[in-house]
Amino acid sequence: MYGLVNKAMKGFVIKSFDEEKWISICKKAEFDDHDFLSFKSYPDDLTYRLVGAASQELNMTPESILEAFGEYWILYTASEGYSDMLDVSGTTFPEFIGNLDMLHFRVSNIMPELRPPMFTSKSISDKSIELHYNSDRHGLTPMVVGLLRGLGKRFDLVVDVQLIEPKTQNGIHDRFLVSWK
Amino acid sequence: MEIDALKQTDFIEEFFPFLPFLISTNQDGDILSMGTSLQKSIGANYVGYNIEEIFNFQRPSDWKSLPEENLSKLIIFLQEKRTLLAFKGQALRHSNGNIYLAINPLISANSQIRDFNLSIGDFPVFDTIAEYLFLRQTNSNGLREATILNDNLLEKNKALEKARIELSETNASLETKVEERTRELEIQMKSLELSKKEIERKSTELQSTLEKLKRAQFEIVSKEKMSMLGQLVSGIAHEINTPLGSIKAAAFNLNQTIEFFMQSAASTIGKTHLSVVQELFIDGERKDILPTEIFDKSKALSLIIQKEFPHISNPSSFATKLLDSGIDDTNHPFVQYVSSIEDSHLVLDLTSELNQLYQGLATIEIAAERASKVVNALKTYVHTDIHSKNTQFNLKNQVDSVILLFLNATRRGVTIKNNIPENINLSGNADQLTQVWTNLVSNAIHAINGNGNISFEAKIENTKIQIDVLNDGPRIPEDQLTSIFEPFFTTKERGIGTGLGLNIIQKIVEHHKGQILCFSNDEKTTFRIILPLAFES
Repeated sequence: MYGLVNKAMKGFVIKSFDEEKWISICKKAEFDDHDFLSFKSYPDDLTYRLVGAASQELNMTPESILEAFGEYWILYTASEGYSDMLDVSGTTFPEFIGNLDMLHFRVSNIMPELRPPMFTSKSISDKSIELHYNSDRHGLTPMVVGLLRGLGKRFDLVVDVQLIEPKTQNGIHDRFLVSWK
Repeated sequence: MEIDALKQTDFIEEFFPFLPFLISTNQDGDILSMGTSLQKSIGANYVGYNIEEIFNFQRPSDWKSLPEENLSKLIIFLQEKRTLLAFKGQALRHSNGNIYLAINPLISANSQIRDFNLSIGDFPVFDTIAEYLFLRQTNSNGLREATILNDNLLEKNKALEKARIELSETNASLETKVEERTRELEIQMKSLELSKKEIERKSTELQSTLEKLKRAQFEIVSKEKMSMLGQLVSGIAHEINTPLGSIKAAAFNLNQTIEFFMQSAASTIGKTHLSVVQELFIDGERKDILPTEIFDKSKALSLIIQKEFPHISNPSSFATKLLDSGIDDTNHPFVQYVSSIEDSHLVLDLTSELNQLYQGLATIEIAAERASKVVNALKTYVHTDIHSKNTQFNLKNQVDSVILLFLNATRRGVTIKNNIPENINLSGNADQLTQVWTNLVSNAIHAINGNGNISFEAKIENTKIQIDVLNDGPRIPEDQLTSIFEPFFTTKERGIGTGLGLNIIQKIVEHHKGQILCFSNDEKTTFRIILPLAFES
């Protein structure tokens, strides 16, 4: 993953806890640098190690950490100079969801080592959609849930996300029912 | 023109998903269709309007200026009159007479997409304007991150530089301190070195002074002792020599008396017998028969006399008187004579008495002579003068005279052999060297505890003579070998040894430019004296 994700993880821990916790997590994950370059590609293993170490250090399950991190991700990228990119990705929550795949496609053209997930959606009603999430990475489903909630906050919405069909059951993708009000 | 009629002449709407900003007009500029994204950005669908009613032509200046040929080469800039949004693009004149304007919003930043009321989903996939804008954005973000990193690095570099300068200053300060301390230490070391040398010099001086004091003390004590001993010996010598003189004179007088007695005895035994008796005591062979031997020899001799001279009436008395006369052999000419005369008892009475007288006299003379020699030896020992003149003397004879001093010891179980060759003559202080041999023999007798062997050996090597005085007494322990020449060292009981003997010997030998050594093992102890054959004081 690009360093931007790991930097967001660092920002999440420091914002939610403190820098000492982050240093402890890095020590536990056997990562000595403590910081990342946004546009450098790091091994996925490092991100997983950081999540595992954070789980131990913060006494939280990996799932809850990933969900909280996903929610933070939207906030973080906006604060890190990517707000315009978010802005042009949709002026409404459903439009943004509809453009998620396009957004990842555009970004992957300028970040060649990016392996973005694929999102497809279909409208269920004015206030709900069915979202399909497919990624060659495992275990990041809770992050998608958090990300959708964080996106909802961006549009001043309360978003409910239900995993109606986990990836493990058909091996292809997670299927969510996303509704908002 | 009616809209429907216009649409019938166009087909392009089917391509709007791929060309969402396309405008098609007829040759008069009447709009036939507008792409979906274009409608979204300017907020209306202007089909049926003339294009010049909606857009300001900025390049070319108006619709009529569109060239008839190579229209597609012309870059066109338009501005929507209501929203003032700008577009760029190119145009194509179709064979059906329609003109197709493929335009795009003129945007150079993400924020402008929102000005056009658009999102990234409004651009076709092959349109890379979004990537371009994202790239600019990420480039800007990257640059910002790089700037932050650079600032951080500069800050760290400044901190490092500051630390380096501080370290450099500290190092310089430390180096200065180390140099100063080193100089101080060097000065202190030199001072200590000088002090050490001074202490060593003073220690050597003190050692030398102590040695001198010890030597002086020894010499004082030695001189004092020798002085007292000299006085004592002189007194004793005087006291002994006086009666010795009387004894010698008395012995001489007794000899005279015996001569007179012999002449008067002629009237008793007759001149013939007297001459035989005189011959016996002048030239005859007589033995010193000890009183303890008389009893056993008397018995044996009595039996022989009884057998050989049966006419002797009292062979036992005859035998006893013969033995008293110093004769134990019946073949002796005197026995043959006396056994043949009638007055044998009278003659034997005379000879036995005379023999005892002569023996007594001889004993007196020998004892007096010995006493005289001992006194002389003592006087020689005490009055040895280190400055006395050198003489040449025969070594063997000198040693013989020393051995004579110990005659008494040789009678009690000590054997002293003088194996020194006869022809060795030495030059040196004879009195002092006599003292050397005397002391060595005295020590050897003490070492063998009065029972053992002492010998003198000598050999000449080049200009030196090596004299060994050996005894077969017990081994001298190794730790004592190094001390025996020190003054006052003695193994004798208190009051018996002064501990000066070997030290005096060493001094005498060294005075003669010689050397004394001592070796000892389980079989023998050797005192080796090496002297130059010709010594000049």
